[in-house]
Amino acid sequence: MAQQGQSYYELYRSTSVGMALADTLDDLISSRRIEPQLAMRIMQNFDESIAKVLNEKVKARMTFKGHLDTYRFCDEVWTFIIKDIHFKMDNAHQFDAEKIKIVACLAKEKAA
Amino acid sequence: MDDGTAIAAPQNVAEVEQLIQRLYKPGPATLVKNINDQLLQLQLSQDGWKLADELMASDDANVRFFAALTFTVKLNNDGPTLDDDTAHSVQTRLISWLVRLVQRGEGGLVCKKLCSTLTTYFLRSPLVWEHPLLSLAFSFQRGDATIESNTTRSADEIRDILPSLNELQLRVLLWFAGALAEEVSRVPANTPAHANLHTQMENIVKDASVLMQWAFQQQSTGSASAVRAEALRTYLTWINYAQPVWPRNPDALQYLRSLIGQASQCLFDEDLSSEALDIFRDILESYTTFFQPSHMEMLAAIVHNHIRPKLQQALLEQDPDGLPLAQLVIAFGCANIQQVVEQPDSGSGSWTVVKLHFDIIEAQGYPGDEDQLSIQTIEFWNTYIEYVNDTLFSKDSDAPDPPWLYQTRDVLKQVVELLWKKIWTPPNEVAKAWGDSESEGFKEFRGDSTDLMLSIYVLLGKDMLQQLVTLALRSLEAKQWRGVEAALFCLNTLSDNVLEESSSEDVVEEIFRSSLFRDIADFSQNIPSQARRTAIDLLGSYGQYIERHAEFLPDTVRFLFASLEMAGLANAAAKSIASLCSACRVSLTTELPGFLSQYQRFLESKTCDPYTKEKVIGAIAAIIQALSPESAKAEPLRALLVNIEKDVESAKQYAAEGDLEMAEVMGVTSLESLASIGKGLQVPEDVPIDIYDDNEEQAKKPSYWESAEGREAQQQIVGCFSVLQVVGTYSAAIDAACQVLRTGLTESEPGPFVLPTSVTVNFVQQCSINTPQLETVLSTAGMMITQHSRKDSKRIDEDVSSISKAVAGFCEALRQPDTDPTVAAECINVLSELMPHYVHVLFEEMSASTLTFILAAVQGADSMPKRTACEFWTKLIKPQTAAISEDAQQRINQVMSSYGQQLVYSLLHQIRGQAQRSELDYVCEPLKALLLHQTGTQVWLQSALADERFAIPRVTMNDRAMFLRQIMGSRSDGRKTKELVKAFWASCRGTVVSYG
Repeated sequence: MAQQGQSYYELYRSTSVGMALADTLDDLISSRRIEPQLAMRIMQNFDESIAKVLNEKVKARMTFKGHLDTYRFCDEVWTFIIKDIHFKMDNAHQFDAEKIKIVACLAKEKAA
Repeated sequence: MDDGTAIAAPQNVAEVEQLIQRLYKPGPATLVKNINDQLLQLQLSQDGWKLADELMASDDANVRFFAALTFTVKLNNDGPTLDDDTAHSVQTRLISWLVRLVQRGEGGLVCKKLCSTLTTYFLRSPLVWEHPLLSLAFSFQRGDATIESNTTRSADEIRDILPSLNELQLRVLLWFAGALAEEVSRVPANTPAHANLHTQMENIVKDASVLMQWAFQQQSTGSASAVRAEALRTYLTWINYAQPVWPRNPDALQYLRSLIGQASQCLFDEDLSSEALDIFRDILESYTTFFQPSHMEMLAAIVHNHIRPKLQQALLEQDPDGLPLAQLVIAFGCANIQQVVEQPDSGSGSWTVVKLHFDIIEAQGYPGDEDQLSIQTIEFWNTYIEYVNDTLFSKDSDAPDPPWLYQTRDVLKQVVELLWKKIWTPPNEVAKAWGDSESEGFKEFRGDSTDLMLSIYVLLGKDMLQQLVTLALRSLEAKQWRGVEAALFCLNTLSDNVLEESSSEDVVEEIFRSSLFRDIADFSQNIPSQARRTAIDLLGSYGQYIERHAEFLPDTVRFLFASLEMAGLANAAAKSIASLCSACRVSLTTELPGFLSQYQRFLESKTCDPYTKEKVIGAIAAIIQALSPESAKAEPLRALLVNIEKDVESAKQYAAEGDLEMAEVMGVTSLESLASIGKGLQVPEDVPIDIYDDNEEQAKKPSYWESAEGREAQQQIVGCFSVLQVVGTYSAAIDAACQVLRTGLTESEPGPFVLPTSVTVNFVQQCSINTPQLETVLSTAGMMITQHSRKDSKRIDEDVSSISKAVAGFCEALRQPDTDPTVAAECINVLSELMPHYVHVLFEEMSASTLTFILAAVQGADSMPKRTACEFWTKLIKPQTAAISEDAQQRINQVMSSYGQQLVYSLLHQIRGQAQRSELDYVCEPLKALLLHQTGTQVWLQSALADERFAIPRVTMNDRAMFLRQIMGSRSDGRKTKELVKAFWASCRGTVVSYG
């Protein structure tokens, strides 16, 4: 359901696609082709759409195994720091990382 | 030049009408733009109100639509500054037009636009409009605009007016009610400026609720049905509005909740049921608490009495109309998951929900093909198991199990069996008829099902493993190969979890002791190749188990080698061989001679291709790695290298014959196989370290690979690089050669692929600016320098010096970083790696032109060289992290005093607007370092800011002076510096500081 007025997490703004969008919006504002208010609205739409698209359209999956070093749950945000991780992609590609941080937020906004 | 699209300003209303009509006709883009510009000018003019009013009288619906749009534009621009009389007059004109147009049977386009315009009036007018719905309803009844007096009208009056309105009037009222809810929902609720609007909505909902109630009571046949349909849509819009705004306002919400019963009647309406199902599903999914327990009971009764029989019928007939029914059941189940799990036999539909979910999976058809419903049920079962696991894991460990657990386990076992049955692969004749979409859909369902099984395994554990093994063995006995395959597929997914518990080994053993692999290895049996492939995958997945049960190992690998020669199985077999040999390398060393000869046979077979060859040769190399002592590795390694040398020779042969395509294939394969051997020979990361073995003498003892014999094997490896003479112009070959070098660079102990550093140096020296993948070569060189910059590693000044010379040559050949930004970035990166341990080499080899090149990268537009150049300067400016000679420090100081001013100018060039927002973080780094460590920075900044090249109209001299003061004051606070830079950049750029 489209929930007008609902705010979405801004965490995907720091992804490469989010940063590219910000750069493009800056260009459009600088050249006076759009107003800053519209740019902010577009960014809010991005927050909503990327969460939706990642949830509904991305079918790739991956499993990983490692040692859970730290975890916390604060303000509805889970944070996990995992060490010595082994990743298995669904195309059988495998790789390792020394340390990763997973930030997880509620996918669906539940009503109060 | 006049291209025929220039538009003269219209002189009267008739000409404006003509322009509007032309606007809506197809035409060249420039014409449309020119018309639009002219019309926009008119809309924004003083006469805009008058023009809009006159255009409303047009006979053309497009013109009337444009008139409403003009009112909206005027309201958006001038609304808040209107005096009371003008505002009142605009309101009256708008309502009057809407009433008259509806009387004339106006279409939806114009009416909806006018409703939207009235909403804009509601939002932008300085006059408070307390009862907009009542005003419009009253006006409809009176036949002209009648604005109610706020003090004398009661909201209940609308109830008396509605019966006198016709269907179109009711629909327009509903559109207006919906537009109000939709537009006001976009207004922030938490700012004082807008709080009043939301308070008004608490009153308006009373009229809206009476209106929707009346609309829901309309007949469900004929044109009155359209009123009910509109009421449903308006209802959803109001619920969407209420969710974020009224979470703690049950009184306002009650006006909407009181309509649930009537809205639910639409579920029984033939014409509206599809839309009603969607709307109820939406609310269940995203606003569960809108429904109170009594409403859930009512919905449970509807699911049981009305939806269940219709859904079961649809499943039986494979009718696609079952989809919205199933979606509602799933949403209802998820919304009531606690009840469904904890009170499975309750009267509120728990069992109906579970049973319907079973029915959906049990129905005929393949997921992704004719069965579109099964995949949807996975969401429900995920919610189900997530609730169960959460509840069980959050209870005290000594607390008794909840009473519902027994039945839950039973339900989940049924789910596992149903899913197993559902993921059977289709017979060939069905699969052949499938397109990509069906195959993908089926694959997705298999993936989703096994993911779900992983969650269920957390609860059921060994019982579930036993269940799947039993299903596999029972199918095996009955020679139902698709059943075997589905069970093995599930077991593969669970392998990581199963292998963690040694207590499960006896269950896994049942599979390995069965006739499964004997049957699979019997190629005379007619077994679907998918079943064979999944069985082969099982061997890879359960490698650790096989490692612990060495009795299964040789037969298993022999079977895999045999499968390697079977078309359709070769890739899966190669993959499993690679993972099994890597995991069980120590147990397989005695089998090495046999595998080497099997590999030789395989090279002659038809299934031998670059992929299988590379996988298998890497697998054998992994076994060689497990041999001890090191000298024992040489002979089998050389046996493998002989095969590579043959490929190298044939590549050269093909090249000599002019067959460049085959030369490339053979040459690249030879290098990729070589890299695969190198990877196989790498020491596994989990190899045990003997902490008591600190015998220094032994540590000093030269490695076998440093002896003459060891060097010989290494020479053989290096010799294979000669293939680059014929394939050195191909990217894949250069990539593969770099891969070979990298396999040795990451090793901490000498080994066959830990080649002398001169090999990498020679490789770099042989490259030119035209070498493909030069960036990969440079990054390999950078990796070597990093490895030799570690605390205990050997310093290689001479080699580093040669690499620096080559890199300086590349920079010179490029002239400017933008000639090839990727190569430029890697060049700068290599030079950066020289700090701090080879900083003396850096200044020996680096000319003024190289420094200018790096400076140009800071000033340029390309992101990658800009980033590495900023890193370079930051490293140079900051104190070196290791001790350096006085001479080197002096050179650094000289460089800074010569280039400091230019660097500051380049950085300010970025900050004045050249940089993108995403680049600011790293552009700030050298500036932060300068502020902290270079005393001349203030003068440099002052001079750069005063430079006329810096001038931009948006930023005055005062702004620049202020920036200088602030930035100098922030020198010890990197975060503050970054914020100041961002704010200054935004003013220079004319954009916002942040989008937050």
